Amino acid sequence: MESNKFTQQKIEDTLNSLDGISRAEMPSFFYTRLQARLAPSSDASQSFWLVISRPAVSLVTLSILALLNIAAINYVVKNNQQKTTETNTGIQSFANEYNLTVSSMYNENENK
Amino acid sequence: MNERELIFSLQEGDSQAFKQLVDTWQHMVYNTVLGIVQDVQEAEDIAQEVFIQVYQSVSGFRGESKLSTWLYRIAVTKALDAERKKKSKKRMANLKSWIGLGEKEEAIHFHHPGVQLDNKELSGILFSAMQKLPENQRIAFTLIKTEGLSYETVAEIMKISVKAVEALMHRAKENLRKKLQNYYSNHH
Repeated sequence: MESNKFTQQKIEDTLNSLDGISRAEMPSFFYTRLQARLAPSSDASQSFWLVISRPAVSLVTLSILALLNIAAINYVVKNNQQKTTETNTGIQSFANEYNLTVSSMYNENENK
Repeated sequence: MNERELIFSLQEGDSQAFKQLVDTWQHMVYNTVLGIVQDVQEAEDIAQEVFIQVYQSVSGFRGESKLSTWLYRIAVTKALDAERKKKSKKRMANLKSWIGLGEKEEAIHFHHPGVQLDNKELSGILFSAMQKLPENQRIAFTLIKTEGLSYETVAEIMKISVKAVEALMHRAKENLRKKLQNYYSNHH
């Protein structure tokens, strides 16, 4: 019983322990330290990296790079195909002109 | 410079006005943040963040509330953000100690520099119990007890009614009584 009373008193004392508290004061030269922290944010190179490191900007840049890559690959593949067909038609016309096609030789053998 | 002129000058980017703002409100911001985060160095870092945010967003301040109310709101929000981050780190550390990867941290009571010497020990125990309160109860209790604000001012800062602040304070005290009861029954 006594101990319970003691505990209750202790709880009330603890709850009231902030009575008469005075405001904690900021350590000296806070404004100087604040200015030092504010300064880099106005620096041009710093703000450039800040912009670049934003997720939205990085995503857009990556998408543009990916699109450019796809377009370049497409261009190279199409160019190659065109070159192959051009070479093929060249050989074909040469073979036709001198009657060197596989089918013609086969036909000749058949005729014999 | 009155408050209106100060806000106007701040919006114009006047560095002298910004210095005046910091000089006038630095202790208020620091004490508010300190009451929540309960760490001297961390409180200063957060106070810097508060003023940086003020500097960057003052152009959008329309003067619908008092400058001090706006500052209190930013200070409380920043302090609570830091507390949330700390809590998730603590949870991780507890998990690590539970699986045997780290050591369990000993709870150290915070000593507020403005507390009277006789009350240092008891206030340390109270500050530890305050950390375990739900956020709204914690804000109301801290602002009223450490900043000495009226229920009306706290209601304005928290954007709730005075009655709601009274209810928060009542619940905060009840919760603290339970937590202290628990503490004293384990430490006797």
